[in-house]
Amino acid sequence: MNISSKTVEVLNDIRSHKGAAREPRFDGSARLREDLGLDSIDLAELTARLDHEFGVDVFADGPVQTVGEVLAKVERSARRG
Amino acid sequence: VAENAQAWWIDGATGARRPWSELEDLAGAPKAVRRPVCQPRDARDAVEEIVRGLVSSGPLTLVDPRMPRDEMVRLGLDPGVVNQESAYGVTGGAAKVEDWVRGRSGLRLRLFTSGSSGLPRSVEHALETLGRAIRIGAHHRNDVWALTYRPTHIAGVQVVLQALANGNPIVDCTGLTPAAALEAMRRHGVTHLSATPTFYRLLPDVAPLAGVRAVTLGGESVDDALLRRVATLFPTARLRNVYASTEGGTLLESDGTSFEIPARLRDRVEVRAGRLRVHRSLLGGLGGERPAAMDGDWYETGDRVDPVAGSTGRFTFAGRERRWVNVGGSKVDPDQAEALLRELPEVLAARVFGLANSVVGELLCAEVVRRPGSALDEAAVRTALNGRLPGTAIPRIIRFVDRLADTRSDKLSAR
Repeated sequence: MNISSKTVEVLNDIRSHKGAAREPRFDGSARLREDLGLDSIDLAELTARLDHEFGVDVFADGPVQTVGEVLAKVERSARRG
Repeated sequence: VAENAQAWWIDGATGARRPWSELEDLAGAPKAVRRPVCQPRDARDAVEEIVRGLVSSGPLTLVDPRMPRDEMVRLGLDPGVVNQESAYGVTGGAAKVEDWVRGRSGLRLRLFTSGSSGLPRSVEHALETLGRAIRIGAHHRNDVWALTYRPTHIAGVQVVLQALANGNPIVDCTGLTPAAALEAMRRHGVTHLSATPTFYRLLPDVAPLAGVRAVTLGGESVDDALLRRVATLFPTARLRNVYASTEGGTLLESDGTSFEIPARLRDRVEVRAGRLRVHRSLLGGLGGERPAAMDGDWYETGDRVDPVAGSTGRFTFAGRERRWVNVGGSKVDPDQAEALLRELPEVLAARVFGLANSVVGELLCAEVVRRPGSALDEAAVRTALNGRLPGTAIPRIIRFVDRLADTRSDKLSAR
């Protein structure tokens, strides 16, 4: 599974705790809090799951706001290997 | 099993045996070297180093094989001296290892607590403290011990000394899965076994092991259901539930789930404000700074006890002092979720802990060992906890693992 589809799966898993329906994809410009409805514990879970999956802590150097920023951080780290 | 008589060590995985003569040679080797600060390769290496410490009456520091260098530094241990060899002489004149264990050695052993309550701390023991629980006698001549604890920790050291003091073989089961350990015990005629409640919880349902005469549980609180299961698996064994700590060795014993302070310890072990306290005279030397857990001459164990209704002086252990996890500023008690997880019929074992998190400080996580064949998944576990706990007390990440990770590292096990 590639980075993008894995990230979508993780986002869907987290949103499903609150009963949100699963989405096939998320826009890169979608904001994590405002558009996806994630609260701080959800964001904590997001970063922990992505860290476990890809070995990068996307919030390590400050908050990220959008799905696109999350993907960019994971991809940058994957390229660095 | 008759061939056990010549072996002091039996590798539980391979069945390889080491003869007693080899161990006794350690006492008389002409150019003997030992490692006063030892991070052993494996369990046998640790035990041989303990024997060298016994025959040389020297100080010995044993370091867990998994302890990283930065942790050594934090504990004030110079990584440069670890496993450095130095020559030793034999003090005294006894030839048999068992005589050294029986009190002729000036060994001082420094160990580190397993750190269930944070950074490990060093504790130094004289042979006298370590030997308090050792039983010696003709009726122990034919005992065969299973070693499930690492001999770098006090519970393992006690098994090793008990076996060495009576000339008993040790079947090394460290590092084996509970199922493989059980098989090794059956194959090598183990009569005595000491392990954590978690070890017994994870044993598979197999034919009972006849021939095991004594089974000891220690290190965590024990409930009636587990005692019944252990009694079924080891129908001929006397069950012993012990309360021990790295600081004080074995302190209390029971054949059930409740304990009583024996008359000889009543002035040195007490319950105050629902917690067990131990007088400093029963403790090994606590290394480094004076621990915060000392209140005058009393050591606060942090273990909560509940009185048994209708009895005078009997109590059960209610668990450790709460270990709070700070989730975004809310203090969460991980023991709540851990207890509920263990009650689920498909769960064999579980641990709940705080994982360092860049967003909320710590995130509550769980590792769960499922019963074989169970299809329990993360969503089902979460559903089982929803409504029974406040949202913050429900682990956000639940991983299924084959065995629980060592509790000294709070990180998720690799997949």
